[in-house]
Amino acid sequence: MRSDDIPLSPMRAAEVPMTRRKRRAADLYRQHAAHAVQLAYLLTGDRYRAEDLVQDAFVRLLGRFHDLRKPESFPFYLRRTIVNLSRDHFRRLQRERSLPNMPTQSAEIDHQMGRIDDRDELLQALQDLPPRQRAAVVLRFCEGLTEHETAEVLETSTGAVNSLVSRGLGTLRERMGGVERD
Amino acid sequence: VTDLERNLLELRARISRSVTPSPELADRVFRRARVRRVLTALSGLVVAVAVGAASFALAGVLDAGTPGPAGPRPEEGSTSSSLNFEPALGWHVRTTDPGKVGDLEAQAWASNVPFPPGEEPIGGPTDYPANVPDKTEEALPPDGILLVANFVVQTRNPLPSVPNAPERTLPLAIEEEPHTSFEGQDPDRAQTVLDGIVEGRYLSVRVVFGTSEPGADLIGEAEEELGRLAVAPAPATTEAIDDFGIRMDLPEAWHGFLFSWGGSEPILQAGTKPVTDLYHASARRDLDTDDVLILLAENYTYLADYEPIALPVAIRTEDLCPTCEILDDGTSPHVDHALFYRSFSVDRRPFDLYVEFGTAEPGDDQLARVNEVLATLRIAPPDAPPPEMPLEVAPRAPISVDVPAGWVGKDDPVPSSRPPRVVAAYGTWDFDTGGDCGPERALQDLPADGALVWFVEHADPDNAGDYIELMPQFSIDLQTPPARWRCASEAPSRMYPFRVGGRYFDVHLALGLEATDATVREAEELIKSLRAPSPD
Repeated sequence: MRSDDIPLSPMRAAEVPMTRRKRRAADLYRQHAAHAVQLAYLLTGDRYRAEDLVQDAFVRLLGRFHDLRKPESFPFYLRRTIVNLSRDHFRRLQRERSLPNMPTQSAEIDHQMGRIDDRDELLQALQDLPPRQRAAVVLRFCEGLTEHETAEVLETSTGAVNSLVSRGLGTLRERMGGVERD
Repeated sequence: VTDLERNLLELRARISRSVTPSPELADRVFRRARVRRVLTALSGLVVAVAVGAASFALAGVLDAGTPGPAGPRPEEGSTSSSLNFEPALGWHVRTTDPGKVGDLEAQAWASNVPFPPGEEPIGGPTDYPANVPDKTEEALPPDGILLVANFVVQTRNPLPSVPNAPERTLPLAIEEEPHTSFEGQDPDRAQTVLDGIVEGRYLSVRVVFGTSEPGADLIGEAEEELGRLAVAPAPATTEAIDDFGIRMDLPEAWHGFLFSWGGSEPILQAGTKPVTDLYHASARRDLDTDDVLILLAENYTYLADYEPIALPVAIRTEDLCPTCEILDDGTSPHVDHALFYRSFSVDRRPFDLYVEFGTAEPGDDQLARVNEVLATLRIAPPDAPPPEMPLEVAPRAPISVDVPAGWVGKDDPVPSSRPPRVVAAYGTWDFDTGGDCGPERALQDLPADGALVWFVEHADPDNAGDYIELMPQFSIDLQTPPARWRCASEAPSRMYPFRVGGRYFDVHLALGLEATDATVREAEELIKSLRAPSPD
């Protein structure tokens, strides 16, 4: 028997087609996923972890999409969520490492899966910055955000952003062996 | 701009060329998003407070007058709504048009400020996104209030208990202090959510304030309006599994529950254990060795390509999947259980099918028994074909390159692929053509010292700005690591987005592990020689 020969409740069958919401969610993913993964990669230095963060970020935002008051602000919320999740990730990592006799799971994963850009000194140096400094530097100079936009993403003041950036760049200069010329 | 800042920009550019989402990420996102919707629907208040019967709230509200005992659900075209706010001075109300959406998808809105023109519940032209009055919410003044009521679960079957949604009676009252810690929310908006089973329906009401700190007066005003919410009793329920265009005939001793979370894809839970919650958690936990649980979930992630089949569907031994998570909810089966998973599509309706046994080694008779039940599954075709992802179709126009000695070039090497098309491939050996969406056949045979270059053309990419003009100075930087790309087998490759003659190409290079510098340089020259005349 073919499935379309079967009498089914007509009203409910009519409700099956995909909603606009789902189509829009897929469009948002298509538009922003690549950029999101790249940002997360800059913040974590690890492709696999970057995808995990992006997955979480999309899931959170798509789940809350009906709460977003300005859908056109989706990229902003996505960026903010990724930054926040990366900070949470590093906090968790710090806790793991502070526990005696506890294997540093993340480090093991790093080893197994391979940090693909170990050879990139600058990316490596970025990873050694404290998370907020790293986020500020990445947002300002890799993402090209203004001080104000960076402050909005980090939910802080522009003064604090300037301070974070200044300290971050200073550390990077030291790490990069004084190649900097102002 | 300092050198360091320039280096950071270059790092960003390198990463944009080499880091892209894996093909699996989209599936992971959309599956998790669905689970998240489910969990979100069940979060919220848990304090059960009975607030007294108030059937008067219904009087005069519904066109049909005071609803009688639970009866058949309103038919399409009915003019009464199952969810509404009683009209009151100073309040504006909107309700779903029952002629446009099913009774169980009803919504009701109320606000003490006018709704902007065109903002109306589902069925109207402005039902995006997700059928919420976002314009009203955005424009809410500090003393503004907005209430949005909707049914969370849609089902014809008896509703099992919901821990976070206690039985409540009308009129409803605000129980939780409005707060602002909602992700993605404007900090100047406070809201509170009230979930409950009301009149046999799983109801959720969101109350939003135009200020982050609403005072007692404003909360009281909102509560008065909440008290005017009317909910018609749920229609009579049935044990039959026949809804959403899905039907299954269950054996005598089996239990089933077919439902949808807030209009998302339907889920069917069926098995030998009673349905005691909406998460199938207890049914899984309580499985005895002879027990089985079936979960069938429609899954319109549609980024995934599920195997098209003709019914009946059956689980097979190769579908055993100990590491699978049911509906990706983070819980793999108990070690003493066996979980089977199969994805399929019928008439372009995609489904995930999970079957969990209470034993790690179910016998053939147990599999047969489940397959007998699955054989009764009937699926109606969708009313309209599911939307396709938009495809980029680049005009077919030739390209040409200088082919190094000993290399082999083939046009249209993946004839069956969907756009964007692989227009040509060049390898150091006589490679096979074909693949699902990339030159996978060729890549499977990539010699250890070989190389394969292929060109993917995009018509009008979203990220056109990432494509740079192919320059004579181009050189292959082996320091940039290869990556795994969608539609490129398991072989890592380097990818370069180039613009040539106004056309956009992803140029891929896959190198064998023992490829020599000479081979790399040949590939480089080949790429640099790309000529792509305008199709005009």
